[in-house]
Amino acid sequence: MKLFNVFVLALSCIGICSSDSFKCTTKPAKIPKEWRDMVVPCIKILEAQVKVEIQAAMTYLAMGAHFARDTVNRPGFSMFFIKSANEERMHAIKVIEYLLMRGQLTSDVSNLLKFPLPSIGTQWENGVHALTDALQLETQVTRNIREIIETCETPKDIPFNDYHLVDYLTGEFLEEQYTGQRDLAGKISTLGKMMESHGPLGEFLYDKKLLNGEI
Amino acid sequence: MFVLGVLYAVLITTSAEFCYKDVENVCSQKLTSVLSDDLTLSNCNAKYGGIDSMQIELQAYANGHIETSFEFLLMSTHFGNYESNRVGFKNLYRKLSDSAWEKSIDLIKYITKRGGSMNFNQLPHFKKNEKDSHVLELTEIHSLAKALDSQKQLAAEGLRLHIQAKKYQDAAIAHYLEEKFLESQSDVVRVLAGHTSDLKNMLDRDASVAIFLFDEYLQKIL
Repeated sequence: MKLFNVFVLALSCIGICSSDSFKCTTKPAKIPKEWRDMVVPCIKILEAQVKVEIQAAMTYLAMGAHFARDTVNRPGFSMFFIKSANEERMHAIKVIEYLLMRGQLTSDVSNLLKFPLPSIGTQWENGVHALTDALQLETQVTRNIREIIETCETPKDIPFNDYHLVDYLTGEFLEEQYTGQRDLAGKISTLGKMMESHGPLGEFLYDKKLLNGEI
Repeated sequence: MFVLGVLYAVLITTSAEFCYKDVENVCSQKLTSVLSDDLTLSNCNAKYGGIDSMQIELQAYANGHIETSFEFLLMSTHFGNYESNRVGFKNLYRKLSDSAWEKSIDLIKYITKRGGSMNFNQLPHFKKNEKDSHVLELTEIHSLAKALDSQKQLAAEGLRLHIQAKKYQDAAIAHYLEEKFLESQSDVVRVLAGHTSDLKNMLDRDASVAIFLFDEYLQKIL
């Protein structure tokens, strides 16, 4: 028993000794902070956009799942919406990349997204309804981006115009938003007209066109 | 015995012709009396085997992958900031995030292929340690440990679902899990265990250089 105790003691010593030389953390370097010139209201609203984009991705994913069902059977729509879900996720990643480039997100990255993600709709009556929801979703995202642009161009009480971010959002994000919205509106128009007179037949034909990338 | 055989045969024919009966019912009605509700043909679906019993489990597993995907995305983000500045780790976790995201989509497609539907509110089955579950600002070695644990949890859940699939005698689901999940899971668990072991052995007095070199190595292999 004594021998065993000595053995345990020796073992625990090795444990402690080795943990002494085992370094898990490295000392942070001294980096000046002045180069990080983004202002708080602008950072906050841009960080919030990550949630908005992920929420849009999840909504599209729900649409993709709905149209993939056996009794709904619209593989073209399903493919279209899953592609949109991937694009929205990439938008969130683009926003994150931008914040990282500007020296942000050094703490509390966990606050960017809250788990579990909020619930989303799971049923859409038909293709037109889903596309209409999608257009409304995109319109809301565009509004959000415009709001970020306004906040970052003329932040309240702070004389700092974030030219670079504003240019990036205007050139990259708004461009994609407006093109995407026009595309959705066009789709709703064509499909809406076909379904008005031919219902499921119109939707069936349109779905196959979507599936084959012909529209 | 004969009666049993006949009963069995009748059962098989009837269960195989639910959809046909629905169609017959609908078609035998006069066109004017058919309401749109009658046209649902509720037995004409893709369901067979154990999908009804497995659906909730599969939904939860898909949601588990979505949640894991976003966690890895945030871990990746942390290593992308200028203070951490570990591009290799950033890329490693981004790759794991992408993979979990793709797998969740694939699983959703599979659920619908088998006649099911997706419920995004079905909470993942595995419970994480509440205290440290969502702390994602980690050191390099801590992050590898967390990634390894998280991947193992998904792998263990995959094995559990496989047992369930066998229990409900659905070899199709079991096969799908094997091919799309179990195979790649053992690869990724092994890779992360290897990384953890390598880095652990190098973290002595000069941890900063070891981590720098290891990060460069990660950048090259990804």
